Amino acid sequence: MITRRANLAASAALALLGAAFLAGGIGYGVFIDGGLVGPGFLPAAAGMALLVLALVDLVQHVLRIEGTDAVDDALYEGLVEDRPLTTDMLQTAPDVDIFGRDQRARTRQLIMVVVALIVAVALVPLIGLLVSLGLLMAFAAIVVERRSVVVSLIVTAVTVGFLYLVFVIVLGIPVPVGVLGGD
Amino acid sequence: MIDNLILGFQTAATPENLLWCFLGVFLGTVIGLLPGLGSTTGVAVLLPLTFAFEPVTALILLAGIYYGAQYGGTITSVLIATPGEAASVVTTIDGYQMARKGRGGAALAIAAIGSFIAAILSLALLMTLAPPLAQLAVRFGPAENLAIMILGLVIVITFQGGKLVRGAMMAMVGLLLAAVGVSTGFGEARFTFGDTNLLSGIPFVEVTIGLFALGEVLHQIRVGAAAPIKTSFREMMISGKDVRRSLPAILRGSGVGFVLGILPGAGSTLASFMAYGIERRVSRNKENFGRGAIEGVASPESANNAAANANFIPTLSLGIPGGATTAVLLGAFTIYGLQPGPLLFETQPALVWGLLVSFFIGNVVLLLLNLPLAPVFAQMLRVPYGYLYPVILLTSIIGAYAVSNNTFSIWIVLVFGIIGWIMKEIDLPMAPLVLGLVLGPLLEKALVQTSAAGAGNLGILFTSPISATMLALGAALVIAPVVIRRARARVAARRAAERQASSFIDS
Repeated sequence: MITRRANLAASAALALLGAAFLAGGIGYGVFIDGGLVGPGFLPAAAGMALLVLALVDLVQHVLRIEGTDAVDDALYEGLVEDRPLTTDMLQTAPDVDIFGRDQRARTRQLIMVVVALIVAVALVPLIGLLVSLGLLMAFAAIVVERRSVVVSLIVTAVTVGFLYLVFVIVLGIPVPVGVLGGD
Repeated sequence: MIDNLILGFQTAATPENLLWCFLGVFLGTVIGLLPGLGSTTGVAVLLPLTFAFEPVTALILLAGIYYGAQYGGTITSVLIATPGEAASVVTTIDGYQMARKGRGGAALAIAAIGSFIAAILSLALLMTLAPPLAQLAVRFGPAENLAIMILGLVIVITFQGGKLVRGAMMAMVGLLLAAVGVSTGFGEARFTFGDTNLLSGIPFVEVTIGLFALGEVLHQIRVGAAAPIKTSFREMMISGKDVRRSLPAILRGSGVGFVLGILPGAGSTLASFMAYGIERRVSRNKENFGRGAIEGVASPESANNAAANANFIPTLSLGIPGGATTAVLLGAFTIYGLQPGPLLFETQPALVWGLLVSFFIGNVVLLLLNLPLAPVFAQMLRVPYGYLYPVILLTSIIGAYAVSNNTFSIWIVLVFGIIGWIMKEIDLPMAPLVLGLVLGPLLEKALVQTSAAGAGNLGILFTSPISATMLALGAALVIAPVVIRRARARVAARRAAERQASSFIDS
């Protein structure tokens, strides 16, 4: 049910994106003097195509119509029975994985990682890139994954140190240091 | 040809290039076997590291990662039924069954041998076919170039393994993203909303890192982890019977892989599925398929390696990538200031032939590494994902920053990481998006030139025999699934009617 709603939302969003690029493309000029292709031609054409395709996809989802498979799918049907639809169908991890986490726990972890990522990137101008990424890594390992604090801190220090060596010392990339002076 | 090979060896066999070739295939193997990491992610994440290198050295390293990852992907397919690479998905069917029966080592060994034979055969063909194709393509005008690019997009849409409409949507999204920034041929800023960061467009390296690395990490967190099956050095021994059964499968797989790999847009995933399907039809051991048949590992593994090499034919000679990874490599060419396409063979012979020769060297290294060391590599699967993915996150983010020394790059990675995760969750294909993004500027350039050549009339696309043929081929590919499905339904109906008639006569 969630996937169906997500699919509907994605198709609607893509239709809007297509419409926006179509309108923008027309604004830039689809054709210029002499009937030549203008700067708006490609965005308008691809935008229109996206709008139409996304609407088709949306209608297919609403009416639960099976869309046309790609060529390879049509061929596979005859060649390989039980063809897995996605790689996930082959993954053997049951609902509870080897760390004893069920689907709900894993979704909670996912949300925590996404929020931590956004916070970490937002903190870059304040505390610097490497410090911010180090905190992100320690948070993911210790808080999200509940790994050993000592090992997590060692792994974080080694990783940040290695990245500093490669990117800052060897490649000479000036990473942002932040107003607090951290790297 | 001989002169070119000598030039290639002189370029590839320098100590520096040999070292990076070795490092590339080694890193590729490790990247391929880590759950959720594939060659596209590996190449995208490590691309920024190569900016300080000579272009040929950088490409040797990145190409090594590309085909090294094909080998690494097999290890996870066989031991934890989790393919690191989409091209290894089909190997899981029989490879994992072999591992469960204690023959995981033999599956890995035959995959390594099959991949090696396929690589050598396909490289010989690649070296033979790519230069004449490039010579032919040099004569192409804008209409032909535009038609080839349209055909490439159609192929990637029709061969991406999902619904046609969804593949086409993603290709359009790729083209639209490519339209952001100063337009090709007009110098006008489009869709930038006054943001100077967007003037140079949405950067494809950051988009690829976001979609493939971050998106995959987020997806893996939600999927959870499985326990790997142990394998040992002793298990890597294969019997004469294994070899006899596998050799025809390896040769057939190599042939199928090469033919499909040549198509711009079709990749090694398709090749591995087709090879498996054909093997299952023609093998004398067909009843064991799905239960641990060694041919079921040998054939798709040979096919995906042959296709990975054959992918370089359209990439190098036409400038049209064969799949997502070659699309990123194609983008890398432009970053190094090289113009991918047919002229590359004339303007950069040392680079092209050095790269091709490095494939030979890399595949020998891979065989030597993988036959004895696959069980050692497999130990990496025991590294807890809880430590692994934060490392991937950090490397991806700092790698993206290094592309243009700008925090904006990190935000792009973050946004496209979340988009990539959503795409994986609802099964929207990524390869058409990446191809659309990489081909967008080239396609628009060819479009503007074609329009100018025809004085505003794009109908010249249909007056050139080559471009008309390519467009007709593209149209046929779009219609093909409907025709195949209808033909199959007719055959099934006829068989059902025959069965009914014969049972009526019997009674």
